[in-house]
Amino acid sequence: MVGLAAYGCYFPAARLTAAETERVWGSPIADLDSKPVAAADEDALTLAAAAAATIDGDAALGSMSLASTTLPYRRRVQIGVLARALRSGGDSLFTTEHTTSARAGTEALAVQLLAVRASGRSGMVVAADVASPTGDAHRAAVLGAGAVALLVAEDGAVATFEASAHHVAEDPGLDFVPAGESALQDVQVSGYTQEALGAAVRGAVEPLLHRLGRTPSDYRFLVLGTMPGRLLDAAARGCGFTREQSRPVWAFPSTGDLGAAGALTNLALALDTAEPGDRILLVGYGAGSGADALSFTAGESAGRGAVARALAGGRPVDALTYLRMTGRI
Amino acid sequence: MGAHVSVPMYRRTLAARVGLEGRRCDRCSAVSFPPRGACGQCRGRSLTPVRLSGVGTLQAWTYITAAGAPPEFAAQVRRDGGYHVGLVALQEGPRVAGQLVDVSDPEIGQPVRAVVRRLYEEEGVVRYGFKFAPHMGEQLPAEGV
Ligand SMILES: [Zn+2]
Repeated sequence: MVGLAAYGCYFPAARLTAAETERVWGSPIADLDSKPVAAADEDALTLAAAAAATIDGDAALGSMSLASTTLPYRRRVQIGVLARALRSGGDSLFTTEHTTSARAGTEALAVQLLAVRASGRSGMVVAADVASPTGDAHRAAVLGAGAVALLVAEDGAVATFEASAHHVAEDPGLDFVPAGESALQDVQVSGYTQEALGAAVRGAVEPLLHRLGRTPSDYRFLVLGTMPGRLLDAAARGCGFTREQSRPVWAFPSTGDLGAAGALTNLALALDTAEPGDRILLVGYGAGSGADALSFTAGESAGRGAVARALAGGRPVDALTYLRMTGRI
Repeated sequence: MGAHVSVPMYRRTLAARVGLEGRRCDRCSAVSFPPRGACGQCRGRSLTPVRLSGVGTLQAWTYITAAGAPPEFAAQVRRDGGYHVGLVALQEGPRVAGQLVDVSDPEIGQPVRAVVRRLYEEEGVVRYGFKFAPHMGEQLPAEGV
């Protein structure tokens, strides 16, 4: 059955810790222990290449999808350098790029599941985001950097894909960047963020559970994005899941907000932890709003410790170094 | 290491810079990288593209201070400071120079592996290429042609 055959993650080596944040700015960021910071010579594409490089072998890819809200260019095809790095490409590679919201990761995965089913050839999903140097300091403080790669194949030894459901609505004013500008904006109306998130997640999850004849308790994990904890808990509760199903597969405390790579990094954490047969419900959410819900069953090859391995060996940086590295001073 | 590369030259050499594609001599099997028109060992001109593993050992290194860096690296040193440059013996044979990343105290003989990074940006065009990071012995892409 179509599913995931391999996965891997990459995080930049530099880390800004909660202790350093508190020392310099006076208070820590809620829920954030430490976050990776990209070097000056890293961008979303180099992060993506590094995550893709963790996937073994030379699978002849038929398709590849890239998800990122922080690609180096706003206009041009950019997945080519990734295809080059993987020594794949040319006429026979079908590619897509997903760039407009944090939902991009699950959009890319949904496209690859369709492509692999249609072509019978393997496909790769790579999601990566880096903290953008623009925008207000409060928002930037939670932004991390990292990438995750998933190999989608007809034989999903890591996890098999069961079904998906999708939701879209018009929720203006949340987490947006107008054309021609670069800073993230938000109307900051109290409660609105949580309400829109909850409605979109429910809008994708409920039809999927109904179609599969399941209830939340049939799942070991609910995988959401790398959002702050209070939003995570509210979104889980809103569709009948518990903290015990969502908090263990939430990388945010060690990664910060990974944007388009958030939900798939959390999925990698779930695959690292899952026992064969465990059910995993993945939900990607993008403000604006849209949500994708995808149901998986963990296979024999899950549990490889990819996220912990990729996070190991970080190098703490002080606040000034962090500001210089992120181009803020 | 001055590194200005025109856009057409960058495009022509992408397979080597980003995909680590070298050439293997059909006559004596010596691997050349960056790829050349003739074998460096026997001057044979029948060569087959070969993908290098990117894994090697550090043979020598030096530190380039922020003040000593070529102008195209100005943006990088403004954000990250000076950097190390190393000479690496790839396991397939060729020796290549490249920046070292994520190392504070390089050691001669330490295993390294190639990673894709930004070299610099000029005329709005980002040049990507390989640099070398410490090789921890984690899983690597399979070798192959
Ligand atoms: Zn020769």
